[in-house]
Amino acid sequence: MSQYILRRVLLSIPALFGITVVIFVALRVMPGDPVSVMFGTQATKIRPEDRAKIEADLGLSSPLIVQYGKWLHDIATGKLGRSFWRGDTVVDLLVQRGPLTVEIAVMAIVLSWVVGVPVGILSALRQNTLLDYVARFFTVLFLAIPSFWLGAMIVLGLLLWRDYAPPLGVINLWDNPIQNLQIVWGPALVLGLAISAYIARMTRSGLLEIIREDYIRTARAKGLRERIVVLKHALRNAALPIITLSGILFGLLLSGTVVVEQAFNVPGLGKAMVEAFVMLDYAVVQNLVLLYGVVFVVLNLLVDISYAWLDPRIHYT
Amino acid sequence: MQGQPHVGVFSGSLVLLLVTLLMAWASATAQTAPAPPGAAEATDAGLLKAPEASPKRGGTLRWGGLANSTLYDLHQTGTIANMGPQAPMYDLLVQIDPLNWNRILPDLAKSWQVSQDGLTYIFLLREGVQFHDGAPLTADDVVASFNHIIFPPSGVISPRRGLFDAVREVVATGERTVEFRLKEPSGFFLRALAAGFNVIVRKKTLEENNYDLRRVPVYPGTGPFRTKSVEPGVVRRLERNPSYWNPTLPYLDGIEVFHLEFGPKTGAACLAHTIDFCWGIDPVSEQKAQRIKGLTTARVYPTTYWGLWLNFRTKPFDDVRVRRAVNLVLDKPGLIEAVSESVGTERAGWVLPTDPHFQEYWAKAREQPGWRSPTAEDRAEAKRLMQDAGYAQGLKGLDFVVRDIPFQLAWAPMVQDMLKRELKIESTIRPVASGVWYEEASSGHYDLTIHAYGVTLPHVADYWGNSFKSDGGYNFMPYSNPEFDAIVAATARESDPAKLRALIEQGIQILDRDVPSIVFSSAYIALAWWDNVQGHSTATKGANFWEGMRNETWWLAK
Repeated sequence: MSQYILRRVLLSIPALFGITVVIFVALRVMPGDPVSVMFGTQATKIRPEDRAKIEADLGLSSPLIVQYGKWLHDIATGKLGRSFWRGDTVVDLLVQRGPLTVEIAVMAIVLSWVVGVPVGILSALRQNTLLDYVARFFTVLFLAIPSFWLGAMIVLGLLLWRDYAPPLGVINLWDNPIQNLQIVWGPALVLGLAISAYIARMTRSGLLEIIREDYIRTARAKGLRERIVVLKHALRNAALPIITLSGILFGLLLSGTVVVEQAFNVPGLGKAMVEAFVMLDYAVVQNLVLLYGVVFVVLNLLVDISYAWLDPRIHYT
Repeated sequence: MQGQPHVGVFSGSLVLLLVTLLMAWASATAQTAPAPPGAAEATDAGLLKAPEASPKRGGTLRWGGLANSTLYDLHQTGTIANMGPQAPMYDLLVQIDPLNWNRILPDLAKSWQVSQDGLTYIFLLREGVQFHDGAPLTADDVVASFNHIIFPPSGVISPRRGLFDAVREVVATGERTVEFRLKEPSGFFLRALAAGFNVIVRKKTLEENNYDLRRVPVYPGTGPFRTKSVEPGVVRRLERNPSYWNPTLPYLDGIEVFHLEFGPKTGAACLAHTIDFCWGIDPVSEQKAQRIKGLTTARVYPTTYWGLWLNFRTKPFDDVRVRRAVNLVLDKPGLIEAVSESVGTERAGWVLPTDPHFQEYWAKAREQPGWRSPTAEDRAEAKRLMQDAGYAQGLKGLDFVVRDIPFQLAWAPMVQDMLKRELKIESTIRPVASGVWYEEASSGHYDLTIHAYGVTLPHVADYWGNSFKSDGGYNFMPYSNPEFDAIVAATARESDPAKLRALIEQGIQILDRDVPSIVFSSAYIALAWWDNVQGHSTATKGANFWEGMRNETWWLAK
């Protein structure tokens, strides 16, 4: 197993390297000039010699390969660079805003399983009944509704009907749990429901396949309770594709935080990424995209490892 | 007994004394009784206090609006995103009275003298003023601050440098004396000094940071508040400066300045009372706020031009007949109405609504061709002009660059349609990000483009100077007329109101004739505050957009 993990880690390095190249090139190729964005309408008054000095200060006047090399050096030394705009480090940004995004992501995943798996099970066991049709209607609905729209409707609804808006600022769980939950519940709910729709559909189709197997008929014939048959025998075998899907959906979750944090005005990493992108703050965008890439790769490795735990037939060498 | 005053005399004298004392005390009390709200006018910022009789001390104000300070150097920026969170920490040399808005008050400068020829301004600084780090304010700090603004070193951008073109040098002639020596008289010099961004910082701060404070989030000022903590892009928390040189102020213990995007996000937080003072709500939230008990709204007016540039480098926009034709057929009132629920904008002309001369000018101009909704005669005249210019068949293939801001994206197809229907001018809309727009506009890579920009002062020398004077900061058409340039230069020197009005009239005539750009409107920003926020005069702030942001007289009722 350890050899497998090592091999996977080594294989992920080229993938992450590829991410750095893609994001670096994409930002430089994209139209727009950070100095112009930085100064807004005042940019038109910048003298050429001033522009040259500002670009040199930001490292933008170096050749691209030098800029890329410097960024890789910053990553290797853990510095990750500074925002073009404010001068605060990317590490500061991660420490300040990261916990909220992580909390939203974890709550969303938990919610997606808590809602998606039971709905999928019920839908499979009551196939082609009213319950199944209702469940399938809602899963398709939540697959189709854009999360930013749903988020905006929730914000608007609460404001117009209850005169309510969540607290402002970064309030972590350990600072004030109540206010923290007021901030994160909305984005977590929207994201969780969107992902639960996928989980529910995968659970339903997986279970429908499994419950027709001979060993399930045998288990029932032996007189086991239906709950044991479904949860212990059927679901365990149907879980593998659900877990695989969860790993892939985590990528959806990461991109989803960018959208829902904007909709709910939550000052997490997703919102920071949007702001940095609009402002062409290369350092912040590059490092956040890379971070998301690392998280995605690590989580998928954990998903793969979990197969061995779930299915004794799977051995990694 | 003989020789002893009669008791009755004693009694009478005592009574008389008591009555006299009582009358004197009553008189003194009457003289020191607090003036009714709004009536008292401080003659000096050191005497400023809240207009209400019994302001309460304490509490933390929650201010919400565009406050994602980037480029922390106030001398180098021009956005509310800096002024909101940072202005309370700094003072000015002189300031606009933040309660009555009708005059310039001594601020860090206790007094000043102006030479007979208007070429020398001598300021005497207040004693006993300290920066937040305990260092005393000296003349060298003021000189360094204004050299930073007026004569910026390489790599430092100073948007307001043009306001001080008349200044030859700034010199400290004593520990507390600063002299501004001018090349020529300036009609708005004190007003320029009072512009909200021209704050006084420590000379040592500038030197230690190589004269660039763009990435320095906290640097000492002399203002009523100082930074407690900064979460970039989220909130700046300010606390009361206990050593503030006005012993009465501030009343608040602190201010939390939350960053909220302009428009509905600020509106939502305002209506839910998550914030007490709301900067920049959308028109729909403004209407709703006006119906809520406990909420008050007001509008403030930046000095801005919103409109359409036609690139003079592109034929036939160098032909004034074509520009006049375009101006005649565009329905400006209609364009304003079309975006009225998403952004605050109102009609404007060559003279902007923030200018004291606007009312007089607009009364005559608003129903003239080119400013009113087009009539049949206007359209016929436009077609005739195009025919005279040789473009009766219209134009094809024009590049219409539009910045990715909602109201501009909404306007673009309307403008495109009007030009096509009326004048057969066909264009392709090219939406671009803001950063790209600045590049395209300044380098002339467009045929038509919608613009929206602001300047500092509601004075023609500033907004005409930037917009239509040769080499003006936003003159990207580019338009050049030496006669007009001379008029703008003269307005900068002129302090006599009647002569200034005459110069403005001359300038208007030239602009009416040349039509260097198509002006649609000017902006307003809607503000709102809950009734617990007292001690301010936001309701009458009007055109003093960048001023009165220090919040030193504000207090919380509950």
